[in-house]
Amino acid sequence: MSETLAVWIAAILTLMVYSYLIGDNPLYRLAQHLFVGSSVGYAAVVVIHNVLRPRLFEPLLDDASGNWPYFLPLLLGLLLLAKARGTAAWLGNSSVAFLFGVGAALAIGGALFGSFLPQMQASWVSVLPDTAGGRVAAANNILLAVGTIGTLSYFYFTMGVRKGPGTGLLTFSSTVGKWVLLITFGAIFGNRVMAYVSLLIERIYFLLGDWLGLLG
Amino acid sequence: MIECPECGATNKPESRFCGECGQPLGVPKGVTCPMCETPHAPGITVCTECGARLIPEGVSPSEVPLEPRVPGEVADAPEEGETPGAAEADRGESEEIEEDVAGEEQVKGETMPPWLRKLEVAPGEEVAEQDEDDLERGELPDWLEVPPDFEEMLGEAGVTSEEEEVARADVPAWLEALRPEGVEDVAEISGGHSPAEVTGLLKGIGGTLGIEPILAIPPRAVPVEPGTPSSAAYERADLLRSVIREPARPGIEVSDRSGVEKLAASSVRWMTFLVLAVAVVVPILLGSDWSESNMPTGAGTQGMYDAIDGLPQGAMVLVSFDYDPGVAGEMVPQARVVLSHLMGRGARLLSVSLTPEGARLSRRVLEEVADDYGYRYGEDYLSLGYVVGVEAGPRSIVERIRTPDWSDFVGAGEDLALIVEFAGDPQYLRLWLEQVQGPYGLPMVAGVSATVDPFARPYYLNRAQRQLLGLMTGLVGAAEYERISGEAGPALASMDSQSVAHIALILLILVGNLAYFGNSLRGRLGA
Amino acid sequence: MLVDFFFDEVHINALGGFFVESAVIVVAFALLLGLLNVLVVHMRRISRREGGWFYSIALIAMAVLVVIAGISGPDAWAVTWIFDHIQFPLQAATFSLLAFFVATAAYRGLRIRSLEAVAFVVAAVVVLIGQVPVGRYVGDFVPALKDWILNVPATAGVRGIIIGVALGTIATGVRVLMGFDRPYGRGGDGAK
Repeated sequence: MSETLAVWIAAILTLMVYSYLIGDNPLYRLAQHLFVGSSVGYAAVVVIHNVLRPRLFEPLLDDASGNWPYFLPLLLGLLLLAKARGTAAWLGNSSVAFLFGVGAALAIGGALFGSFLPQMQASWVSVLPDTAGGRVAAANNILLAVGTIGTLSYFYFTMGVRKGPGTGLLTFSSTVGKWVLLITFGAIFGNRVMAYVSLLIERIYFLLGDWLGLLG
Repeated sequence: MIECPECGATNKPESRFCGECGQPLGVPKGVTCPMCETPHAPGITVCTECGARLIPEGVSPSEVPLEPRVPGEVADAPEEGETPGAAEADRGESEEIEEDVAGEEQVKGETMPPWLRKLEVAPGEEVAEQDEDDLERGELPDWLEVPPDFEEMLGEAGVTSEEEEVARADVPAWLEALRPEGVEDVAEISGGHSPAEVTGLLKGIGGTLGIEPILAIPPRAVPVEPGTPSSAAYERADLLRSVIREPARPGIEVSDRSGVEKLAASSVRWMTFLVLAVAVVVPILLGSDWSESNMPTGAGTQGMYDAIDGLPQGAMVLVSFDYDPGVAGEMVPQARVVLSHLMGRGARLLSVSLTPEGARLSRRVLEEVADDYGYRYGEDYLSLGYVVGVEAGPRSIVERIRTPDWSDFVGAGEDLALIVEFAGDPQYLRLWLEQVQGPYGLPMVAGVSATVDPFARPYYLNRAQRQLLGLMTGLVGAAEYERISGEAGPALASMDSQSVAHIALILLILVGNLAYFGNSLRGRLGA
Repeated sequence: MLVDFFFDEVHINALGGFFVESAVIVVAFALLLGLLNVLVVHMRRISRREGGWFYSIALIAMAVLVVIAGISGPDAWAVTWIFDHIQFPLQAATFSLLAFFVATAAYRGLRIRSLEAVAFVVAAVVVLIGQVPVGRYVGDFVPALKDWILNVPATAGVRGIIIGVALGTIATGVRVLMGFDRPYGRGGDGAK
């Protein structure tokens, strides 16, 4: 048994959360509310001290005239806070617009250069055994390409079916995509299970080791 | 709800002051009892204190709702299923239904306003038929005819007839000629011509336009032949009646599962919980270490190890801790072993986090490992803290680092040698890849939670672009890394527990399927 | 911003950099707004005595406590203590609960009712057994199969998803910038 109050508190809180296995109960609810309150407070502290203070308050306080451009984000930010009050919410619209503008541009650029193009290029892999590094690798590359195209056509096919030439190919391709996605989701599920088990193991180590001291 | 006249806000009915602006609200209009002077809200007809009538007889307060007719007091009330006769044709079907609905409950007589009660016909009395049937076209009914001594009546009542107040117009000569002599007895009309006027300027003159009978007598509603409803219509009417008469049901009742079924269902739940708990706890308690000797290593983890191992001494590495306490169970062992490796290689570390909690979690791990390697804060490693987890965040970090003279930590012209990312969520990995790795072309490796792995693999397998040089997945990945680097740690020790738990879950899937098939087989055999 | 992406000119870079910095600051305010909103919702619940208002008191008390303790910064002793011994255990325990529910899902939810379900379950089982050391003990083919499943079909599927999402992101971004979509309220000035 640990002597430290802190460990005891952490252990009791952990057990309060685990009480949910019995069913929804006041202990669990209290634990959840404490958690939300704490994370809200902590996030606020971190945001104010790690972001706003060094990047906004300090430049303005140090050299207000030289750093005058910083008044712009300050203004936008304060206007944004007006969204808390329904009547004054319209004040924050420009701030939201600014965020969307910058965000959209960054997102577009990022998606284009960081995901779309590289992944397309990656799919454009060699299917010849020589350059791919072996027959198996070449076969795998073919499967990869086919699978990727199949997945895309599965989404296309289910979102908006269009009659036209080549429908047979589209149907085949989307069926391939369907099976590929089934395997994908099975793999995703398996990975998730692995993750949750790992998390449980860590908590058990804490309870049995740090708290109860049963482990050597 | 009362609306405030000043600001328009709604307030509760009994409020006397507006809740928003504080202005006094007028006392709601109502009736004060003449006997005991108790105020009442509008619509109440009888004083609640002394029982006196609040509204005069014969007046209908608009708020008083119509009461359904009391059954049994209405003549010819049809019994259920009886053929509605022609006499009821005028009454709509809705009235019939109303009566039947009210049939079960006795409506108290005193709730019916008096004017309505007068309209009721006492049982046994026949409804007086109108004389209208006997009228010929063109004749006025008695009550509409002007009595011959109308003017005398007016004079007795003291009401002067109208023509004396109106300026007498000149009657043209040719019209005067039409007036017969002896104008007093105009009641007798000569010939069969249209009746003469009896009053007014045109008194005695015949041949004038009579009151157009169509205007005088409102057109009588042509009785609609009731016809004989079909039997299908009767059925439907009966059905409608029975549906309406049914008392309201609370709703679909969930079929009560038998006690045994409930016990079985919850015990299955408990069993699965127990199986998992045992699978996790027992290997830990036994302290088994079979995995430590049998741990395989994956290519992704190996790639990560190699990338870090290949760093020159003193290389500048950016480490981003983008996870929260939820997945810390997986990520902290990863971070610990990788940081050990980095510090062992003498790399200079810049740590940052895209989650608020990550900043604190990273500090804990950094301080712990730094102690082992004698790393000093400010000289060997620096923490940049938290930056917002959107596109702009990673971008701003890298731009800062590349700004000349930003900090002594960064040498002149020095650039990042490697980015090490610990991602608890795919979006953080994607942010670094899209905003930093892609545009700046920096080498990058990642340790991810197992939930993120499927979304990270395409970037790792991108041989053409080399987006990720190495990928480490979950607690298992940390164990692999520990194995490769030869430093046994908590991750490796957990592997037995993980293995047993996985096996247990696979067994659960198997047993679940067997149970399912067994049941359906039993069902099919039994049928 | 887009121009900054494509061109490398000093002034545009500087302006782009300033915009990025400003965005970071404004996003920080947005986060504060979200936190404020949580507090407002729970204060309302307390004042109106709605269901569960007692728990809301705990929530608000906790938040206020942390903020006050953190006036000097998140490295204050009290803040780190609360984080290490209250927030961390609570959050870690909440997520580890999921393992139990995954167990019941494994028993009840993975019924093989159709051919499609076979593919799903087989993939999940192979990954589960292949990721752990026991898998290799069963046979070398197990981890190899797991790797193949993760590297070929799963990667193909996820790659398709990534490409699809990237296309969607680009399309939506263009729409926002062109003004076809206005998620920020009526009559906005239009994102520039």
